Amino acid sequence: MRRIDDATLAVSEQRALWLATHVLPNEPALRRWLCKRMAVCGVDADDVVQEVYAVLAGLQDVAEIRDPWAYLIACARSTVLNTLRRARIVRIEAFASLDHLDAEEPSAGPERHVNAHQQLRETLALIQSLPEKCRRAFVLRRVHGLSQREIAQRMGISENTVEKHICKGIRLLAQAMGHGTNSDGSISDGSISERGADGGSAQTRSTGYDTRR
Amino acid sequence: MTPDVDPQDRSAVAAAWVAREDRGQLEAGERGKRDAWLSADSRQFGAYARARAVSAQAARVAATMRAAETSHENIRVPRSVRRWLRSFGLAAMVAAAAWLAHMLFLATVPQTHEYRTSRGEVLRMPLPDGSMVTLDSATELTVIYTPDRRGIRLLRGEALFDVVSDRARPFVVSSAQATVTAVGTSFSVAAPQDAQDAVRVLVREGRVDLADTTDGVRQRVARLEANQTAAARPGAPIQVQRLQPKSVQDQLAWREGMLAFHGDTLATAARRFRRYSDVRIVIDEPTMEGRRVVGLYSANDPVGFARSVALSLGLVAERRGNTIHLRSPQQTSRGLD
Repeated sequence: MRRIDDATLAVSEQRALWLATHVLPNEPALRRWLCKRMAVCGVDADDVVQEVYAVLAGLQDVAEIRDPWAYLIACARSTVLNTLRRARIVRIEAFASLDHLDAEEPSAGPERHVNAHQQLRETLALIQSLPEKCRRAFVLRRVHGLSQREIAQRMGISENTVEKHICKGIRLLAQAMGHGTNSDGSISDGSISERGADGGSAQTRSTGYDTRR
Repeated sequence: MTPDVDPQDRSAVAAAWVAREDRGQLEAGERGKRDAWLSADSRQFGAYARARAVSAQAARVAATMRAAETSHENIRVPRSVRRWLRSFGLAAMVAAAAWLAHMLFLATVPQTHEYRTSRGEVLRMPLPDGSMVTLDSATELTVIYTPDRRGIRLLRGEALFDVVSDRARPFVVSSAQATVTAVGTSFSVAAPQDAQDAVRVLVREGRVDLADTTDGVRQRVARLEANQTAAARPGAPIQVQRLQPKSVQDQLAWREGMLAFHGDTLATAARRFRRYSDVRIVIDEPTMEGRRVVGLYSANDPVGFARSVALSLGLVAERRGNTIHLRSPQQTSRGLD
């Protein structure tokens, strides 16, 4: 964990698109790579993945990155090393497993094997398997370009509820995309924790994070 | 109102912020709060960047999804019809035979269908012979199939044709004064936007013949190969240009709801966005109109485009109703004097 400079906080739409095209499709492979080699390190894969996104979102320019997969692996490796070095109790076997992984050439990322159409089709299948109301709000917003206010009017619900549906949509999609999809490309109920919009406990609600003032 | 998310769950909080930004501009207090959360921990910033990527990916499929929804509706058979088919099997068979006879009869007379897309919509659909057509935003065309000719009349907009090979039945697209003839190939045709504009043809695979039919006479035939583009203007020779395969893909980026720019002028880029939404981009700084832009943008997000242009050219993007003004920062101070 480190603090982020205020100057790099803004993530441009273009950078978000770059991340969507080059990093998101590689994320399941990155997680598999981490799990296979980091089991002994006691490092949380989510932490590493988020650090990697932070590095890539904070870069001045990504045009120079010719091989996103190799870059991802390099970022992930240095994040793991930093985490291990900062840990109070350093586990020797963790470094040993890192040595082992340094010797291994990162194989070609899966991104280049998955064509753009395939990616879009998978995302499409994921959107269509979102819970009914969430999917409707999400489709009205993303496909038909209605504002959240217009969606609220059309669905006869409050704007806050629409915002929650959009939030839930992003959260479920993020989870499904990060961990890879089922063979039919759907979001299975078991793999998605429904914490949040609908299923939050009273306690979660009272301590819930307030994104408003 | 508080989104019910666990503050410990960085992905959930990040999604809540992205959904909040999607709702509308953040107030100063909210912005401060968001920035404080983002800067406190790089993993939180990373989770936010990731949620933004997911949102951007969803925007990319928007066009694909719209097409899928439409075709899905077309093939769905109502439950009542299915029940009817089960209980009246024989009657259904007779009906099917009658329908087949009807279709065979239809095959001998021209079949005419009209297709159109509204602004911001991209539609991909099969034609009767199995060829595929992809209509760009605000496009209108008529399909006229006869036993010896597969005809398309492009009335406005742009479309990509992936043509199934059939030597006995040429595939002919006509628009304004130009006709494009193919046997089996993949190419796009853009109708002229006004009387002075050209019909533009882009060949992705195979080859096509382009003819100028001003005054009803076929003349000046040009043969186009893969990765070539041509412009046919009334009363002017056909201009053919060779393109890099990458640039052909970029020019067809609209199929995925995207617009690609490779050194186009800012004025051209702003004009292209007009086909996809009601939001207009106006360049108030005349010296900037000729500046070149590079990048891949979501076709339905002129605001995002204007914002990144403003950022990279040191301009200010200001939205007034359905118009986004791009102007230099000095213009404001002059306005305030």
